[in-house]
Amino acid sequence: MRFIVLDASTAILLAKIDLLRSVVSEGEAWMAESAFRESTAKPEADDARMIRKLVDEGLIRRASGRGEGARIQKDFRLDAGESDSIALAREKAAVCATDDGPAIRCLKVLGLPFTTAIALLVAMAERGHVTGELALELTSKLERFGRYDPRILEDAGRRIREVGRRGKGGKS
Amino acid sequence: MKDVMSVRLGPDELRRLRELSRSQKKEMSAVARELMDYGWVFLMLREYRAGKRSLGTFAKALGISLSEAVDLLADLGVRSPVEYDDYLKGYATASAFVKPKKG
Repeated sequence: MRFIVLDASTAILLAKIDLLRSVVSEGEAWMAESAFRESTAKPEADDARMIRKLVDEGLIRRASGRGEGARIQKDFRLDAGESDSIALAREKAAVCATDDGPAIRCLKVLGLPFTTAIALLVAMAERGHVTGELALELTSKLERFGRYDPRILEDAGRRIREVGRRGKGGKS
Repeated sequence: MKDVMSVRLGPDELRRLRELSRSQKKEMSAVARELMDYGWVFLMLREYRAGKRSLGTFAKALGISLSEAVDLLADLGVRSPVEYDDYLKGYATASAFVKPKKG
């Protein structure tokens, strides 16, 4: 699957830890117009600047909602950005990247693939796009902004440290 | 123009308002309005934490941007609604999405 739709929550988290550019370079990245507007509502914020820059560079494409988002919004009590992102992911048969609890519940009910900022960070480290040392540093930043459960952070740290060990001469 | 509303207060509520008004050197009406704002934020935080609000509806209810909402939740240390099994599923999906680095 080479398409990814970024919900504002994950786009902001990845921008805050400076991993957004690397992630959107992995495939065709999309944002729903409403999610883009929500994530750049405070234009002076660094994360908003980063998201806007990647859109200007064409690394993130934008798409308007086409109706299904409104129904999802009502059924799952989501915001327009979240529901439009899910509708767009469904339309494009894409991975939906979100760190929002109700949005994840909706994606599970609809049977759509999803991922989160921390899962993308671990995968980027395991695939060699980020060094183990840097990935651990970014994990600690995500610990603050992503506010993940300690079990999640522990597992992510373990997987990243394993990458670091393999990179120092261990088996791949 | 601000609307005027009269509210009956119990002894505890009145005592708290007087205490806060004295310590912050503000009028009781100003302190009461501030407490209502804090109460609204607290209620929204509880709803967000209980999974009754998405990040977007939480931010909208507080009249702040999503980025500011993320910062506020981080400052208050409110746990993410992402559960461990969600993370594992997300990890499997991310592993399939991210290509190995060339070279």
